[in-house]
Amino acid sequence: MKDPYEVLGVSPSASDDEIKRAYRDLARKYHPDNYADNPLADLAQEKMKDINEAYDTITRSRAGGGSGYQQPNQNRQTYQNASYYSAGNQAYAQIRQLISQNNLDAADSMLRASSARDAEWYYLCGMVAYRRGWLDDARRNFQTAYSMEPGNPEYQQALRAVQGGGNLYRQTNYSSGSDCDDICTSMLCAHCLCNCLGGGCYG
Amino acid sequence: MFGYVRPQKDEMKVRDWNLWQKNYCGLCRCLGKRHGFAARFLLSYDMTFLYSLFTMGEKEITVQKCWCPAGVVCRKPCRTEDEAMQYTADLTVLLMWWKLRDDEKDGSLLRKIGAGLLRFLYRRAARRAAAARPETDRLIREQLLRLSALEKECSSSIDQTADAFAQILKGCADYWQEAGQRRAAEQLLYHIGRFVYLADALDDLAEDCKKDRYNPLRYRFSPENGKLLPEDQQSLLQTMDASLDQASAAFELLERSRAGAVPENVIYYGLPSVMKAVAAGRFHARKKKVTV
Repeated sequence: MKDPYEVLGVSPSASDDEIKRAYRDLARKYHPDNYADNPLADLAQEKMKDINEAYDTITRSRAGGGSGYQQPNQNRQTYQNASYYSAGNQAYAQIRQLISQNNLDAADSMLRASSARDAEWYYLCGMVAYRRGWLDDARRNFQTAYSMEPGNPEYQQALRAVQGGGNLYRQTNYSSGSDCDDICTSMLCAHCLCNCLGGGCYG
Repeated sequence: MFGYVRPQKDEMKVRDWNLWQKNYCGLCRCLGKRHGFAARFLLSYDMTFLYSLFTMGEKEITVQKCWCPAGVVCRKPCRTEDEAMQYTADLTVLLMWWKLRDDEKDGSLLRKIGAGLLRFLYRRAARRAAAARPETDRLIREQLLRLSALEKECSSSIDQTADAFAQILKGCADYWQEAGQRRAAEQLLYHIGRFVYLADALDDLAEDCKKDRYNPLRYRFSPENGKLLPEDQQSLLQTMDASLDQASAAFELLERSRAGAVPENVIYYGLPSVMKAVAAGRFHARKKKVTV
């Protein structure tokens, strides 16, 4: 088993609060919502499991227990892949299975052979493209599916995934170079105000 | 196709920048030793990024002082040669070799002559690199042939053309041994390749329109006077951003030590700022406004 402190990226001397914070940050980063529909979802899930286990081990050993098996914390929210789709169409169910097995060529040829052109067909075509990394084709297909059936949460989620900027953990503010004149101006104004009012802060 | 992958130095810790430089100098030296002095000129930030990515799991590195032909007098600390560095050096030579071959076939007369001369200069290096990595050599050749076939038929799919280039980078993920890690690396490199291809296409659009050369964006969207309509540009940037999302999601699943801060900077700061600069048409601008 891996060192639980290493998994959480903290030193063994870290305080309980630090450990909790590290755990929360990691859990947010690897939360399955961030990897919804992602071809690497299973890897993220594994990582999440490691993190949960590490946190459990540490809290248990710090609480004085340390030995003996305990039930993992049941309160923690567990994630399940939401399945909205109706199991109406046999062929579609089969295609979905092929996609989840990453057998994209077979799924693609089944879709091409099918004569239906309903929302789900476009969605599945989009899914095959998405798994290949063809995000432009994927978006076009998802858009068609979504416009045919606007209420469907599955299509909506898929569309969100290919439109970029969707990752919750990407909180870093990447600086852009030069096109934030508005912010610059307001910062300048703020700076002047600071100097006038509380000039002391800069000595 | 080079030059779009770079770190954002302003956002780096000094120790990360130092590591980047050691990697850069190390790779330069390795290119020289393995493929002759001329190969040092093939050194690029893109390849330094690849090397940093390959070695981001390592906790300790060995450094030595070495002579720098650009600095002449001073000796720079550079990372000692290892397996990953040799692989990156061979890759650098092979990518350039096939790129030159492409230019020689399709470029203008001046380009053809230039590419021919350079190919003569690098012929032995390329032969050596191809002998050392026959599979990589085959992959690059295949994908570039696929790309030129798509160009000939004026393909309007930006995904398919980008795919050919992205597959080349994806092939480098062989470096990771464990199956799960390799899958994550494949995903990461694929989307970086896709991003770079699209950034290059957007950057060259105006010139390609003027000279009537192939550019997938000309057929996917319909640009006017070498510029995309605002909504088309928006849609292209969105799909590039989606690639960055996929790349960062994959990157987070790769194991790394502190050295991972270097490629992290490239992915989270370098690539987005390159995208913004290309979109605003000031990637090559000589005078720049810089936010402080």
